[in-house]
Amino acid sequence: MSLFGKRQVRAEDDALLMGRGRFIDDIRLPGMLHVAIVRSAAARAKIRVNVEAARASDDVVAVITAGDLPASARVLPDCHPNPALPDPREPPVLADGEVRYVGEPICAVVARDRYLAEDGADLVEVEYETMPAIIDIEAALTAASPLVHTDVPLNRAAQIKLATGNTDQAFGAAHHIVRDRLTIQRGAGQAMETRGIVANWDRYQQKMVVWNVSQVPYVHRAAIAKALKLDEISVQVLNGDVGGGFGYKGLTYTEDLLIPVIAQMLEQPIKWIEDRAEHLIASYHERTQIHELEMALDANGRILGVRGRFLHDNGAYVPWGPVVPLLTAVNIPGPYKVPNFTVECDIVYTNTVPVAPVRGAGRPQACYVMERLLDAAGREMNIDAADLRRLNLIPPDDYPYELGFISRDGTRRTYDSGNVPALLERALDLVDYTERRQLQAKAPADGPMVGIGIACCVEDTGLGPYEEVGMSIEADGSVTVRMGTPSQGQGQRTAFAQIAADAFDIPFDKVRVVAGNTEEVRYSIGTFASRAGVVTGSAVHQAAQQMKDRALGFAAALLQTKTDALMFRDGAVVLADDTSRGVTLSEIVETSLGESGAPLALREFGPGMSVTGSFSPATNTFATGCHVAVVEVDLQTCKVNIIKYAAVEDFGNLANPLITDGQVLGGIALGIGNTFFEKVEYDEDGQILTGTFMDYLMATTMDMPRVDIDYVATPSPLNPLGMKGAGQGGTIPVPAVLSAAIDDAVRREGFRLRHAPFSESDLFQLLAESGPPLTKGAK
Amino acid sequence: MKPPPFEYAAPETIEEISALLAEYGDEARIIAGGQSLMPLLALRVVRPTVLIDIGRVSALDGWRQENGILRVGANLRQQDLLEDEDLKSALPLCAEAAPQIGHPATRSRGTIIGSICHADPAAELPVCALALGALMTVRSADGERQIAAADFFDGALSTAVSDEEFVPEVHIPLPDVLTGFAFCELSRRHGDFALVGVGCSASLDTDKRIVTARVGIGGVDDTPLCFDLDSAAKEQISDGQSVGDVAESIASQLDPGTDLHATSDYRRAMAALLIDRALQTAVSRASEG
Amino acid sequence: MGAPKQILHVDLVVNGTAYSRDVEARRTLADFLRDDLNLTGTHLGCEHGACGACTVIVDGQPNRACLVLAVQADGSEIQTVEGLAAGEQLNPVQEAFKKHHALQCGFCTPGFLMAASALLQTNSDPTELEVREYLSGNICRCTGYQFIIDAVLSAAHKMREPGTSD
Repeated sequence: MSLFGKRQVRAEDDALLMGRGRFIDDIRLPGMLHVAIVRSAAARAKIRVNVEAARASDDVVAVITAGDLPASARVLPDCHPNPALPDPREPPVLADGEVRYVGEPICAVVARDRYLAEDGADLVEVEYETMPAIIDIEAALTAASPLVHTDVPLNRAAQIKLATGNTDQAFGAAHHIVRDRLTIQRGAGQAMETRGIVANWDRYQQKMVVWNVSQVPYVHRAAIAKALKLDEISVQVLNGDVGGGFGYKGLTYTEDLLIPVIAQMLEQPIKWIEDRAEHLIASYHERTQIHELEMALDANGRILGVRGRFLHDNGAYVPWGPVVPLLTAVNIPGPYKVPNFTVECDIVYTNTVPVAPVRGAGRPQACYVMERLLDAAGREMNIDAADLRRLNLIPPDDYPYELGFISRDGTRRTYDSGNVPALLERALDLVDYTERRQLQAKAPADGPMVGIGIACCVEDTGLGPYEEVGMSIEADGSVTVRMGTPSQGQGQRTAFAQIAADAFDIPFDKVRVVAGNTEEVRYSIGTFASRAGVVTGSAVHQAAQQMKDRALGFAAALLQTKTDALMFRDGAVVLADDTSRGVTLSEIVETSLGESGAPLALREFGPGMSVTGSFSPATNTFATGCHVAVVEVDLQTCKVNIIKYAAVEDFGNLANPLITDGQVLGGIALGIGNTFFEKVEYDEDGQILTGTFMDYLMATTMDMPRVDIDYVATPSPLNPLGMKGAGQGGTIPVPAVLSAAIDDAVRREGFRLRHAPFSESDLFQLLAESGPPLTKGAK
Repeated sequence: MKPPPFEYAAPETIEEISALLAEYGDEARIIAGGQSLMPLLALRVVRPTVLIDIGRVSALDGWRQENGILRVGANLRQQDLLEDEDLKSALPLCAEAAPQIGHPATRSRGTIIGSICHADPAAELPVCALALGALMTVRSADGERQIAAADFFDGALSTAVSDEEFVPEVHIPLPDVLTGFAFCELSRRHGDFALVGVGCSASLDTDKRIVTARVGIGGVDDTPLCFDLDSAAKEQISDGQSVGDVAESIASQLDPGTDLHATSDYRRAMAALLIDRALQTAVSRASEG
Repeated sequence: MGAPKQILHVDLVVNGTAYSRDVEARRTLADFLRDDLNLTGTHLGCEHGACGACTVIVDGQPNRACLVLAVQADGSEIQTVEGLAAGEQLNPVQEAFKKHHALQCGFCTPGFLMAASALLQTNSDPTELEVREYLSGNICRCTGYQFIIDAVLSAAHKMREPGTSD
């Protein structure tokens, strides 16, 4: 009985389907007070705050301003230090005299319920002495620009440079060079559950108990402890069900400190639930980058080099170092052989919401620019899009493949395993590529405008340094798995139960997976960057091996045989050559715990059946993917209809393909949003124009095509189960593949999509500016 | 996003509504289905002293036909346009527009008159009201008056209804056999407000020549707009010439704004396209009887 | 602010149980269900009627509970996600959601379940396009919708022909 790899329905589902979830806003504690936060209405201003009227209201319990905060909790610490951004500007927990983006927290109003708290917030008067806002990242880098932070010249937070080979020489020898200016605009995570925090100073336990929606509860525990001047052990962070993460819940926010601080000050439970209006203007965004890149190719279309620079809009503060632009920089070569590569990036402060990873995290940009350059080269050199990729993809025999520069984690960037040519061929088959190309060549000029796009990508997944897993066999013979990585919907309780059940040959429902409590295991990093499945999953496997060794040793002593004569079978340890003889897991636990007052039977083993295992990967494992889309463009309305969409992924060995299918589909839906809909828009004064779901649009059932998913597995050599992360592969290539398909459908001189997202109206304007249709032969 | 405090009144007669409006004036807001008002309350951009819930005034329920006029009460829901077969055949234009008004869970509460009175320039039903030549009954404690749809909308989210008045009923002329209708819309996503929405009605004489043709357009100005085809245009279409020229000519008079969702040029071009489609369809439906 | 607030009385039936409560006029039905009746299965995703997470069935019709005042629901009969299962036994729509992996984080799920239930009450044999149109007002960020659509089609089949597999 192997559960690993099975499409196991999820252990999580029953409670969620019956309305018995335990989400943050479902928590109710006696005496709990509610917070509403007054947020900046200006992008850049000196402020004066008058809270007298609010404090005078009978319905307001307290109003907390910057001056009320303890010195240890005035500024958010740098929770994710990174040497590439050595001197980050971190946000004040509450704005103190100056604001730097619309939505920045100014003060907190505490009341008996949220309605009253919002009434109180209405009574707070904020006077703004506004100053010109810094929004445009190119203008921000000029000497004439005002400064977001007066001590950061040119608004430049940091510069990144990556290089390998001799790029200038490669360009000197080039047969053909394509160059382009390619831009991506910011979007947001927009999980259906907004952020929220409940904090309670538990005076009986002398402990600050914090429930939140964190992807990184251990990071939050450390930051909260420091802010409250408590030992880490006196802070407990709990996550119940979390309604989606998508990266932006993986960071630390000012509220993560503010709410526990208020709970400590007032000695009452405090709840803050971010509402959607707050979320849209105050939860971290991602994606705005401007890239100016060029690609050199030889006469056959083989890539000789890529070079250029890009600008990254960092927003007003630094939530997570330079991780997004760094991920773009290292991911530009993708699964292609790029022998010579030089890229530079300026990271720029602006008066906008701080920027942090959102599902995809810099990689959609990297994939977009690389694939757009390839598409441009293919068109200019009259090489078929598939052929051009076949020519340039890293051949399977070249793995492990070293790129020649340092990766995000400080190691020499090396793709551990992969076979992207096989992904490409499978994806092309799924859309009947050859036949479609033939049809396309024969199609009448006034017929439907059908085009095909292809994009391939890599994703660094399963990064270190470690995850820890506690495992115990219970008195009833069931197994408990305890871990530090919380779930935001990824089905960890199911996938990890599959791994553990296999190890002991017990049914799926005999494994209980527990997470979301910093007291279950001592150490953890968190659930982000497609790492929990790989790293925690491997730690589950490691803990299970230790647990098996322990149980086998114990059983061997009980049965007076050798461990290699024993095996696990159906909840028992039995003799391999006579499976009717053995000892059940229950009996092992019972014996291992002995009787109160009596000596243990097998003292040398120590008590109980409980172990702690961990896994520390040597470096990232690389997932790869290839998406191919067929679209039809209505030249009158400029609406795009996705006729066919194929996604072929290499996530290594899959614990549960049902779950990975879900990851791919959800990723693609976000990617479609990133292509057509999801755009955070600021005006020149830094006012955010997309402040409701009427203006910030996401893909719906009507916008999502049916997707054909398939997998080609090259197991990772970097972990015992051969797994790779699956969390972001669906999202990364979508804007690239759809842009390519639209270009191909339209086939006009001078028309090339260079910006995402774009609306039907944008497409209309671009078409109006472009020349006549290209001849059919050129793709 | 919690509504600000307000008093709540649930009158049971039209007279009580009028009396409350006379008392509170601009400090009162009417709520029927609430599908447009509730978001504004949640965002606290609307802060009424008193909310007058007309949902329990049974005199405002339902619809009836009388002397060639369809009388729609203020509590009639948008969903009825999809479910009530008699209403569908009496109001084919609104029935065609209905699937594009929000979603099932908003249409089930949202009212026809509520949407018209909310006066979103990109909403479907105000366009229909214009294309159908609807008359809005407007009532206050002092009495009743009627405002033609063409005079009803005076700005974005603004109508000719004064603070002391409300709209208990809309009168829509019932179509005859030789009248055809069509509604065409483009929106960012299904159920969103229109980028451009066009409703057309066309009436023919027994020789199947156009007697009247009217085009309502939403999404292209601060209010929905209405155009009656001039005799030249009617002749041209009746003679079987291209509707496209007529559509282009109307579209060329439009000056749509550019916003987050579409440019002015796009909206104008789509208006031409949709007017063409809707007019053609309305005329052909009219001639099919 | 601080003035005495008007308190109104609300009687309604939720999932077959009669409730009688005093509420402030401005309280939304969603907050009333969650906070006054402790039925926290109905979730708030946007509070401005644009995500569908709070969809409940009021007098047989799908409604967004954030766009209804509790006082407006006085006298109504309401079904929420808590009323779908019979004890621990999932109903066919819930069962299909589980089988087809139509939920990940589960936050939007109650809204989808109630919208799908409303659809299947009026249309027992919807086409895929009808399912897509009906559910297009509900936003899900996790699933990409495909498995939700599959689940609703499968539940419809199962409810039409109990005992068959799909």
